[in-house]
Amino acid sequence: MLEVDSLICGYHAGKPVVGPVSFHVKKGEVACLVGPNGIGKTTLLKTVLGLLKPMGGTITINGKPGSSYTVKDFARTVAYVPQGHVPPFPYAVKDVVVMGCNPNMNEFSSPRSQDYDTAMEMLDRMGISHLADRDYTELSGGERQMVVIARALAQKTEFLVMDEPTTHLDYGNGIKVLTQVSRLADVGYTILMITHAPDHAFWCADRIIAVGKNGFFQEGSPEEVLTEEILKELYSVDIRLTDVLLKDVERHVKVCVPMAINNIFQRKENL
Amino acid sequence: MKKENGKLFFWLLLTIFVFLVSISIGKYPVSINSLAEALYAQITGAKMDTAQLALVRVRLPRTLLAMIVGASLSLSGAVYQGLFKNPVVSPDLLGASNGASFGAAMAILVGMSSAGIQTSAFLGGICAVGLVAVMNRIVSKRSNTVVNLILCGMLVSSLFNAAVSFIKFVADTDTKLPAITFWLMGSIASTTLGDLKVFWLFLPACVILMISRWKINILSLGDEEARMLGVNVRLYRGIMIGCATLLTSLSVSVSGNVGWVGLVVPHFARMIVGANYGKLLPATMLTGAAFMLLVDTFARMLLTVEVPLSIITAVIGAPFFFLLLVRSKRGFV
Repeated sequence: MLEVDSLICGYHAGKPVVGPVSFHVKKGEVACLVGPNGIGKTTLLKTVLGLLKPMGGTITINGKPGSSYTVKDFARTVAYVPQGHVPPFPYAVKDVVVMGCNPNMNEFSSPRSQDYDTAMEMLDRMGISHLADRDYTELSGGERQMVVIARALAQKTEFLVMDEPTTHLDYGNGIKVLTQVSRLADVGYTILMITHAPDHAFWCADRIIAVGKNGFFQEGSPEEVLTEEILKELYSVDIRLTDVLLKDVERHVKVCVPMAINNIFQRKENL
Repeated sequence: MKKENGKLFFWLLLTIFVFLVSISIGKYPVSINSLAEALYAQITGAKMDTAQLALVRVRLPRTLLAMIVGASLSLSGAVYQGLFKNPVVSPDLLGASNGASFGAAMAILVGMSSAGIQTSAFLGGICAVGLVAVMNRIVSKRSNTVVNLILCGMLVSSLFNAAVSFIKFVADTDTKLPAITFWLMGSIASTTLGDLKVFWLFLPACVILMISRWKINILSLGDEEARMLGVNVRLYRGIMIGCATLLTSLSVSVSGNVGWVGLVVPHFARMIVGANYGKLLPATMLTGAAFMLLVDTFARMLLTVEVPLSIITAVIGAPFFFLLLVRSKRGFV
């Protein structure tokens, strides 16, 4: 269980970027952090991860203050999935994933064959074991994101913290990653992630943490937080929420439709 | 994994082979047999003839020193590349070489002993790398690009270069200036058995780097990511940069400023065993030792006089690096 209480975050003293915010994420929940660009979602995430010192408030992870964890203990409890990036050297995919075993290894040892077994198991779980011997630097953005998630799984933590896992991905890869995220929550992972698309939050979130301009902050279930009013407050665009019936499976799904679409259609009709 | 261990073993054999070849060629060719006899005589204290004495007192120390220097420069290059997350970094580029040169030139100027020269070279190297690291941190607050580091390195390098020039300028032209100049061009021709005591600095630095080598993979991903993977970034980086700078400085202090080795050898090794530092660092060490043996063999065979090492490494290194650039699957920057 992750508890954040009146947390204030920022880089320079006297200039808080976000906060105060309070929320908690229970075991097995997916919490989505939503808000406009530049509002400080990443700053908040970094503070929760202990990379930035909180300017106020507390972070409690499994009943212990976040700051009381050693670097290694923290890495055994919380795994971080950064946005897919390219390292300076062409490491093989299995070598990248095995880095996730580091927190559970002896301080001076190199990975042994059982660590590589763990890496292969995690690649298999992400459905990308065929990439094991490829160079990480030569993968596509979607494949790299999957590899970084596999690396986080190799840490064998309870929490996963993800920074916009779908941002640089094409439509199909984005959906693949989201499906994996909800699957991971099913097997007990507690997940906190930044997401840009409110639709994605509807699909997989149990809890929404919304931060907006002028200290706006709202926390709760998707139905409570992702309302037309709050979405307008967050993104400064008119959005309508619609219920869509997927006929072949008889399931209702909520989707967001921006009202700006109407203007576009009107203009086309007038032409 | 098995295959890669096999590669490393092959590499070890190759290095030993180069060592034996290098020690047997020279102005006095020696057979492997007489090498064994000479060594046996040295250990048992038996009487040696002139050729045996030359072998044990002159050629053996310089061959061993060549290996230490080559291994040191290559190891430190590979470690710097990983820790500064930048494949084009080398000991020369980060100012360590020029800093160490400055320290050594200063020590020669004031007439210190060889131990003093080595200490001074080491301190100069540490100062230069520390300065580059601090400057890079200040500059990177605004924009964090790899170019910053290279620019800071160039800056500090040229600063220490100017300082070396100044020392040469004020040095006594009859005695000190030639000593500094020849020393900086790089030579291990006058190595004695006593010079081999740098091995006792080389050994611990090398062991520490070898023990923690796998962590360089993680550190090369950046500070935040490394920390999230459970690595104590500040501790590891401090120790490793310290060891790499020690290696650079010790090699500068015994052989002068030998360029290119620290840049080219790690890339060559990477091409053969891959990027994983677990395999890369041992391969780099062996390749560096073998490369420097070849260079030193050339240095004493090419002309009737000894050719400075830095000339040969540049002549081999520059075209070779161009070849690597052309062939590399991915750009270096």
